[in-house]
Amino acid sequence: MLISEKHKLADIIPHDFRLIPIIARFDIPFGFGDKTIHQICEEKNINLYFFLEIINAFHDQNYKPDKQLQKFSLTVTVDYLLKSHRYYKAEKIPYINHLIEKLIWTKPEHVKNKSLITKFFTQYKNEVETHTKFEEKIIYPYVLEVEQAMLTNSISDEFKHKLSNSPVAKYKGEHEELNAALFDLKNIIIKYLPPADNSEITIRILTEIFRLEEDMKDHTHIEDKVLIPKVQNIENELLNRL
Amino acid sequence: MSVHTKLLFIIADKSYLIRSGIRKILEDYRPDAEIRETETMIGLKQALRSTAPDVLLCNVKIFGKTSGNIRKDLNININSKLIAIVGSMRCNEKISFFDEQICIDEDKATITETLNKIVETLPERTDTPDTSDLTERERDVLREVALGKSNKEIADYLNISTHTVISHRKNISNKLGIKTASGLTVYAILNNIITLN
Repeated sequence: MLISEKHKLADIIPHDFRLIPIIARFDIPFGFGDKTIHQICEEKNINLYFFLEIINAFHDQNYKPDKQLQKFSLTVTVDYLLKSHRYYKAEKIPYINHLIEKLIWTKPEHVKNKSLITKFFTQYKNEVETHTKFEEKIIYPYVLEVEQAMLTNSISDEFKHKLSNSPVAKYKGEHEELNAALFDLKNIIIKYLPPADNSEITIRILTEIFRLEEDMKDHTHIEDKVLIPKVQNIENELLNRL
Repeated sequence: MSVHTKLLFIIADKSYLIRSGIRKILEDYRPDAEIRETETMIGLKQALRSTAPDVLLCNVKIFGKTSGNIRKDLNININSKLIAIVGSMRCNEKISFFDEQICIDEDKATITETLNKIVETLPERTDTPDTSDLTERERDVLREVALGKSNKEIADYLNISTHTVISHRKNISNKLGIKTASGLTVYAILNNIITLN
């Protein structure tokens, strides 16, 4: 279904509970009574149309947000992406890590499993850390600079240099790598890892990985299909002005 | 590296309602299939440039002018099956160059039956083969990958070309469902292909 500004947010969540972390990313606290999405966005000073595009894109895989999302300022988009980074790094990944630490194997021949899976996840965690740091320190600031240059129509010599060595084009492949690691972890647990003694923890880990994977796919979709094409359009325009 | 063992369907029709309806039937029939949609001839050509679908479901109206040989015009892979999406009347004779036809006012069961008839003619899929299905050579490559060697190093060590190493790695990933080198290392240790330390 298409979620619109007239819907009550309290009606939407039971309809698709996967939206809970997305809504949290916009700093909307619970206890919002019967307020509509329109009212909530107005109160919290959230860009209503951006909010609708994001939740519709997440809610319905066939929803095509790209054209609409292109209209929003890069600042709004970057702000959202930063918040999802924070969610992955401060909440999701530590929680999965915590669950992995709780896994128990008692048979001597299975003791190595714990360190294997812990090591694999630590490596993944480090990769996410490196990748998001790169985006937060290099890509996003550059993106905002591009937007600023477009708005103020002023291009410093230093920025001119950056523009002709744009960092955005080449980093797309990294997303695939990160998603591949989650894909592997899922298959290793489902197909190959001898079952742990506390299987209820395994079930929780798998569920969490599937959710994280879904969330990240949506995140990289916004980066690859919305953010980067828009930045590249502006880059071209700026280069033409030079 | 992509793991591609799912059946791929492409639906080419101008009508959103028809595409969505066919997608629904396909999803119910094969929940594991990959389904792509396109509404224009240009979109279809683009899709066909990068992939060869197992089955292309296509409304004949989308073509406009053709030389008559649709397969040739669109450069469709010889192994891809073609199903025509036709309007209210099912033609009695076969539409040239199409393997089958589905008619938009047929019921779900009939359309599913037609799909099934076509899918059964496709070569057998080995979606999830056992590890034992790794060939001797693939196990050799897997061991070296797990030990952290690069493709070039593996090629030199096993006396094969880098190209062959890459193709072995693709096959290993497809068979095991593991894409990254560290994932393959975990697998190799779990299965005693290499030992810790």
